[in-house]
Amino acid sequence: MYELRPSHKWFAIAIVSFFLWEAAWVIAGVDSFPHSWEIARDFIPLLFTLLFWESVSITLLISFWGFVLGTLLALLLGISIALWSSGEKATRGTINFFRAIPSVVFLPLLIASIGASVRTSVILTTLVVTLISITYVIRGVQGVDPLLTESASYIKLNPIDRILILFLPSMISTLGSGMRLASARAIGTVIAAGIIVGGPGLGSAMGAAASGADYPRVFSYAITMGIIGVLNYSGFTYLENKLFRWRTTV
Amino acid sequence: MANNGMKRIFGFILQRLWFPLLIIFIWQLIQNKLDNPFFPPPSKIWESVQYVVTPEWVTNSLTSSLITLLGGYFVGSVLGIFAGAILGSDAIARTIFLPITNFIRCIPSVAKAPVILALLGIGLTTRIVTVAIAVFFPVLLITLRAIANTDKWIVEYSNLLGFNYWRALLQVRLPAATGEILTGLQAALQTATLVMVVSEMIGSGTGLGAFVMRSQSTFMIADMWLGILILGVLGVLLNGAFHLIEKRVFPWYFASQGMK
Repeated sequence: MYELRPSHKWFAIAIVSFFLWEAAWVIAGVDSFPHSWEIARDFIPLLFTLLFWESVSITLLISFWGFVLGTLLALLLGISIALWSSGEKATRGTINFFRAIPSVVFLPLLIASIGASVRTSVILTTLVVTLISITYVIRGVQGVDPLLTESASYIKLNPIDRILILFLPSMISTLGSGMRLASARAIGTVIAAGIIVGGPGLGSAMGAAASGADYPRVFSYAITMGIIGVLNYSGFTYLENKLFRWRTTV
Repeated sequence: MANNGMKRIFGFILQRLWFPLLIIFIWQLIQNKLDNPFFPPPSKIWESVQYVVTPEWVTNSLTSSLITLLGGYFVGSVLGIFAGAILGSDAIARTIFLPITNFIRCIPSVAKAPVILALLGIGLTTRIVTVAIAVFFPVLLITLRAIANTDKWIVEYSNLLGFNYWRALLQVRLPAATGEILTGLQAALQTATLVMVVSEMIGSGTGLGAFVMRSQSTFMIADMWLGILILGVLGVLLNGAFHLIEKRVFPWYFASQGMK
């Protein structure tokens, strides 16, 4: 089968992207859809501004804290539910119900109660990450080999050791898939909070550009978000492949 | 027989419903004492059901949201499967379009909303297009990958049988990719609901998202909670409907997988 060489491949991707974009420009036919070179002319100088890097770092920092807190909370709740004999059946409906609610709908509630701040975005991101990861934690704990659980009871492992020695290593591969999904959703949530209620970060920068009709800037921020998304996805996939080479990615 | 049925229902309530009922009971009990304005007791939310849920509200909020969601979801899914199938069955097109599609998919769906709003302005069409675009890229990507990963032997076999491109695509490659496409469609349903709410929150006076925003700005906190809970119920019902439809439309797939 004919395959493109890597250098040819990336050249072809650049050419096709350019022509697709310009074709879209012709179809859209509105001022709010800039040419590709107009976006490039805005994007390159933007990379050298402090404001841009401030927005990027705030977005990543909030996502990181929301991700860490959410994962810890999911571990705590998920392990407790999975260890409780009828816990999964009892809580499944409630967890699925909360997962079905689009996270951003909690924003007005958070704004009303604590205002638009870094804390609001962190709380919302923590909630999103917890709801995504908890199912993976429960599935992971339930997937632990019963023989290992019995051995742990036989040697009388205390609850902390049981979590650290038995459950965490056994479920880490399942949790890895959940963490990859949750990290992408964490970034998306911080950006959503910025767009909807002006929470700090790239979302509010994009919202400000949109309301100021600075369309090349809006697309520059969209490209930045795409680059962050690709880096996040590639980073997690790389880590998963390095750390869990013994299993396939779910 | 009837006795068995009753036992089953009672068992279901005992196993599955006691926990949410307990949460509602505790919430009511705590709020009776604390009276936190941001967490109204369930009884107060129930009261707001009685004056909020009017025929006018159903048209302006619920029906509008459903039109946005289902319209966008349908358009995005059909186009995504079609484009994914075409691009996935050609090696060179796949090599070029996979990174481009992956990049666009990595831009959070909610960030695409202001871009589309800037292009099309405020309105129902904008909201439907926003949902359609949010659904299109993940469905395209999963279809493209699933079609590309079709078992080589099946493709060879269809070539030997003299199937032309379209017949091989429709009768061999797409059915072989059904499982992955269904998984993608289900995930896209959640994305569609999220983007529907975002598009209503930032660019519309109608829909459940706009209702929640309006309730917050007028400090009708119980109404806001009602909107949040209705969105949860809607999500659960849509998920249930999705499972029901997929089993009705693709019974052969579930039979082949040994699933009921």
